[in-house]
Amino acid sequence: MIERINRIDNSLIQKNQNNTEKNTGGLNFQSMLKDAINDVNNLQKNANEEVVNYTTGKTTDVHQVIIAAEKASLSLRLTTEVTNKIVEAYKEIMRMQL
Amino acid sequence: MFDINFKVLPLSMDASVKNHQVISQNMANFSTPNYKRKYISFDDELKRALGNSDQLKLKTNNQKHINNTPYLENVQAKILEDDSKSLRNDGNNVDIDTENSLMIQNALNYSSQSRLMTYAIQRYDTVLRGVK
Amino acid sequence: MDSLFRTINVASSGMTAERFRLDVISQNLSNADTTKTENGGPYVRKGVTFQEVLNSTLKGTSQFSGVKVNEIFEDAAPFRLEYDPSHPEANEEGYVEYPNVNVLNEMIDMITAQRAYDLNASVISTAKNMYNSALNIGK
Repeated sequence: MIERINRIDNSLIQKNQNNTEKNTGGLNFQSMLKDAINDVNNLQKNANEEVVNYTTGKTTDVHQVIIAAEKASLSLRLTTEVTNKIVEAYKEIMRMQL
Repeated sequence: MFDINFKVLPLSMDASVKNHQVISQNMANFSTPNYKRKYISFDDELKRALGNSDQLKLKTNNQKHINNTPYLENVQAKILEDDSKSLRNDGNNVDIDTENSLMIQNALNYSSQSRLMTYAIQRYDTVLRGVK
Repeated sequence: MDSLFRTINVASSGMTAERFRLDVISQNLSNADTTKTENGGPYVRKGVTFQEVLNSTLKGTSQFSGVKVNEIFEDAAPFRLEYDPSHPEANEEGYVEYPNVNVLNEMIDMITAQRAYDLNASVISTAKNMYNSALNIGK
């Protein structure tokens, strides 16, 4: 009898742990945003490098430079849009509070 | 405030303009006896200036601090003379087809430089417009 | 250097070579009946040979550097003989030596040279269009 209660207790504890992991979904989002910003930064650096290579005559294909610049531009626009949406959502929530 | 694109691309565009002038001078002197064609040297100058200045490694906010770009602003296209032998009797070594294809390449270069400049400006524009 | 620019240079060298060939053809045609030259004797037909240019310091397609004129040679074919004893250049038997230029062959060569010149020019146009397509990515 006591063993069965212990087993029920254990399964309840495990379930709780799973729930807390879901509640810390906020932290995962933060790291996701950090990764995204890192990616954007890397793409910018890459695009700048390609431009320097192109102007000093090292690149053999112009489409490489253009694609790198386009990727940098698109990722920056995406991140900016996402950031705007987050800020809007935050403001919305702030307005909801009494 | 401005990244490397704003330093390097305008210099490249200056060089392209000079190149166009040199090529049109060659074409105009297609029949001049003993004229030797001229050409532009720029890529290597720029490479050396970037290598000297460590521009990509160091960053300073104030120009009065360590001057880590002593040469980059002064990089200019150099006009050189091509004194190779010509197949013609009048000592003129201009080949009109070569000059024409160089002009086409130069125009394409200028197009891509201006496109890349647009990208560089757009990036700042995106961020500035997006911030509310 | 951009690989499309290399292509343009290759095509440009082709155009230069064909123009050179046209010069020689034109010389042959205008001297098709020249019985006297500075060296004495009739005009000798000239021909050109081309040679492929490779840049062995590079690898792959980067080494293709087009074509160049190898040499201008004098055609060793025999001269054309015409019987015309009243001609000032006639020899003892009354024959005059005319240049070994065959006008029909020169015309065929001329058409070939023009065709090659045009094709090289279209290679340059195509390379230019490809480059512009790359510039329009994302527009």
